[in-house]
Amino acid sequence: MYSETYEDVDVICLFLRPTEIAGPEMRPLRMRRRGVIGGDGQAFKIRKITCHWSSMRGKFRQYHYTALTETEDVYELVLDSGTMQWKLRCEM
Amino acid sequence: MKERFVSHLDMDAFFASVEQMSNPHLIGKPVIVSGDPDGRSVVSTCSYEARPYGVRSGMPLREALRKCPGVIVIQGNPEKYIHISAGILQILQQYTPFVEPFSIDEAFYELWDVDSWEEAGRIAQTIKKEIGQAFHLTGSIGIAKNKLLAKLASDLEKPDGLTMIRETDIDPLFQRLPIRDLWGVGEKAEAAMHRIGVKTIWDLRQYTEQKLQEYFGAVGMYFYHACRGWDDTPLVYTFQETEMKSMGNEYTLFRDSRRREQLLGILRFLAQKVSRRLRKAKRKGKTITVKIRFEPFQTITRARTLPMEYDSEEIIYREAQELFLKNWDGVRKIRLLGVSVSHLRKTGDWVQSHLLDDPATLHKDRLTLAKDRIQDVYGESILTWGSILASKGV
Repeated sequence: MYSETYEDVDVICLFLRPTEIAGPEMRPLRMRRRGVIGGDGQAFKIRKITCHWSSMRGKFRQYHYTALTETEDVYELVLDSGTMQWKLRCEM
Repeated sequence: MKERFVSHLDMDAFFASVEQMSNPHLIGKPVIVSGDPDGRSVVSTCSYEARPYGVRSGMPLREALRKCPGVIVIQGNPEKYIHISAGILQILQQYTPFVEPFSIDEAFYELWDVDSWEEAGRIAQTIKKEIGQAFHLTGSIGIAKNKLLAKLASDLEKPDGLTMIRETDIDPLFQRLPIRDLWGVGEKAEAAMHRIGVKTIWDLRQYTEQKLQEYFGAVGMYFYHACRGWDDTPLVYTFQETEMKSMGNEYTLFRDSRRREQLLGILRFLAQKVSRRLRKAKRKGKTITVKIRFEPFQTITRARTLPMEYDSEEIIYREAQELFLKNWDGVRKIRLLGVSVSHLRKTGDWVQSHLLDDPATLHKDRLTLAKDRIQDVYGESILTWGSILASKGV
């Protein structure tokens, strides 16, 4: 079920060389929900980034990733380049 | 003369496939991508799983839900689709610089250093494979000697098809293909063709150029050529600048309305959007057009050409408002409103002073520029007119 949350999350990610066509330059590997809204500080290993794209919010770029976790849940993570904060935008 | 190899790539159920790729739980399920799922939007795209139920692009969402009750409706995410579309174009540009993006999910490309159909086919297979590896998406490619036939070819075998139309294939193919499959034949043209006894593309060949012009006007000439597979339209490559002709936005109301302040708020919102886009593209326009769709589905457009070009939100709104109020009796319910500006010209960085404009308009224009600067930093939604918020019921 799609539910929008916009909660703060901690993300460990891998930075890749930006050489592949359309390939991600940054790949989230693990995420931890802080437990304020949900998840109770749970950590998830990300099995696969199923899609990624970017958008502009004013002058700041936002990087979106849809992540499939090992528990088969799908989340949309957003990194705001203005605040350099990761947010969990929604659970799909 | 060297043989041309024009290819047309058409991504399969693009928006729905992107959503299925993003969320693997949607794979194998009927999915619709639309505008606001709670509003009165139409189906933008549906997955192949929804098609056996009769769901089609352009169908009102309500009708689609009736035909396929268990379908999953997802609100489209244009930024996601644009990003992936750009990635697909990058893949094509690895093989040839001659790429024409035709829409967000379609593109033509032409291979100039290829000598055989087999080689063109091999390249198409490689492109399909690369798109699959990068995005887990499929597309269908048609290869032919021109754009008309290449587009027709990509439609023949979907999804994930690769079809070539060689010179010798044209006649037998046109003898069996219904006239509707010809590029440019829509619902109305199809009905008109049926009235004159044309069922297949081939049937159209019995008519002379003069006869077709008599039946269909200027487009008759195009039909005369198209039914023979003739088309010498060049590709418009990505590195060639195309001239922008108009810029506009439309808004479909959640419920048909005759509430004056709501309708004027929507016009203000549209004028704001169009004028901001004009300024970003460094364009000004002199013709302002308003589109009004009344309940149930009667649509009118009314335009006014000004003595000089503008990008001012105030002027676009003022003209749009006047045109609207002149053509609305205050009683009929409105379903859709649109505002567009045409007869555009590039403005560059200089600012034209409007000697004859009243100071209040100039003052509001300065306000708009300040608003632009704030929105550039903090996003579109940070600052807006109270009348727009009121029209949304805020």
